[in-house]
Amino acid sequence: MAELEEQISRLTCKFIEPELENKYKEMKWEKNSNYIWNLMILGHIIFLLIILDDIKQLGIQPIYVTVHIICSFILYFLLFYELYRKEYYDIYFTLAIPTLMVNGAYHYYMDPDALFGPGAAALPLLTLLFFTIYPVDFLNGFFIVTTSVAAFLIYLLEVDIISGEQIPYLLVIPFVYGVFVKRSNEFKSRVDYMKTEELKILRVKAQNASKAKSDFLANMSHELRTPLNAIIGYSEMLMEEAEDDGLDTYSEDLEKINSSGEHLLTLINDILDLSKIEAGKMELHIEEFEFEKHLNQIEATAKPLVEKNGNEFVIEKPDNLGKLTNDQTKLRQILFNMLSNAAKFTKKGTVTLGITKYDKKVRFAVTDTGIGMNAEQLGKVFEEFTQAESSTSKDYGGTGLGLPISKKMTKMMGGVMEVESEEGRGTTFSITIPIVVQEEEK
Amino acid sequence: MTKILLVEDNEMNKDMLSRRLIKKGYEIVFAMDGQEAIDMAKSETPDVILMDMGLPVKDGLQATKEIKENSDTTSIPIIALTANAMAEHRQEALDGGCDEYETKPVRLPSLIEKIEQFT
Repeated sequence: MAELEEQISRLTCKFIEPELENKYKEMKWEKNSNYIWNLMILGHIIFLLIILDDIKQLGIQPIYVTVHIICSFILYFLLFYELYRKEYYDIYFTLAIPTLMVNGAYHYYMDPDALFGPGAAALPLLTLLFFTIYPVDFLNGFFIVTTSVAAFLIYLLEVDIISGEQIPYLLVIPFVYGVFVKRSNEFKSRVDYMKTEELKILRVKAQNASKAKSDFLANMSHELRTPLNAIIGYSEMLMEEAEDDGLDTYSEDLEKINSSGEHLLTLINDILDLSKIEAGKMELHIEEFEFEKHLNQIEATAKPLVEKNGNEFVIEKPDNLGKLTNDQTKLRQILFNMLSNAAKFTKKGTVTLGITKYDKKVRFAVTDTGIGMNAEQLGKVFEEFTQAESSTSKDYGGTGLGLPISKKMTKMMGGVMEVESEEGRGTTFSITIPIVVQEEEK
Repeated sequence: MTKILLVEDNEMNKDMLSRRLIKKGYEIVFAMDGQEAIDMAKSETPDVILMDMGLPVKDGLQATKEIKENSDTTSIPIIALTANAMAEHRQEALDGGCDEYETKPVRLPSLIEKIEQFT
């Protein structure tokens, strides 16, 4: 819907946002004031050329000339200052083409043979060159060329038969030129403006909506956890009681309630994490820590999990692991996620945690000899709520959020997460993070 | 017998946790809000306090601070209980004077381990 609205607005030059209309009007006036400068300057280029070169022939009063020269210098100065300040480079070019034309006409006037000589070819070539450097739209280009040629022709005619009183009429040419360029540029700038400003506003709106969604999720997941406490707690309690009283039939069903509750809790925690990352509320807690100690903890937690499916757990690491300055909680969460994934999808194989230290970075790679993934599954592995196949979640469990979260967290920690896999052969997930994370790398 | 002061305003959580702890052989006394927790800590002198963080009247952090500031009760270990699993909340609780931290839903074996380390 929004997309359609956006397209309609672009076609009809109507703004979706009312406040944009006002902002645009302000900008348009600012830009138009530059066309007024443009117009005045053009008049003077032509005017000065005529009076300076033909001053004696046309019999213009010297005081009249002096005043115009002074005024012109002030105008030039103001214009170029304005252009310099606002960086309206396009006006330089719209100015340059007619100026070239008039200069060409002047040279013809001085030496009529030049029109058919090599100098004549330079004019259309230079014009072409300008259009190549500065890609104006068709309408704008058309008006520039037409008015320039008109100025050129009129000048050619006028220099032979002109009298002093007729000179001011020449100012009509740049005026016509100005009006046309202004109109064609109005359309162009409106479209440009919409492309940038309106998209900017739409983007901010989308970001706000996304933030509202994330805030809502963060609050919701907190509220959802309270009743879950009761479900998990009471079912656990009943399981203990059923076991004590030898009520095995109840135990099994209670186990299902309990594990569903646990699954829901993991989902809620993951959603909370994801929404925190998206809302920009997840913070890095950077501290220096001994990695060796950290690794022992990870090993202790992950080992039973990996060995559950009859897998062997191997750690390959350099002797001097040393210190890391990064967020250790997040690093543990990511490593644990990679290890539990490997453990889940591997049976009677090997899960290897390989650590490689580089100059400023350290790479953690978890390699398994499990079921692996094909190219299509590999492409979707970091998408939210996606497991390689929807059927896999039935066999292997999981929320499909662990990897997207890990990838986002790795990015926050100034690192990258990568995956390599071959169907039937196994998978390697790896993260490469800076040994010392800089604040701005967040 | 280890005496535990359970500070929890949610009826169901209170009922569930206390029943499970009583079954494990603990003696439980209750407080429903932060102020009550401060008073009970003085009058009952429990061995351990399990403190929920989101409490009415005075929240868990404030109650913890006041218990730790009072010389009669400052030695009682406090385990924070909260539904916020994020690391910053853990840090907030530990900075606020709590000795340990347990996330809700409570894992009973892990909670008991933490209670035992103080008794």
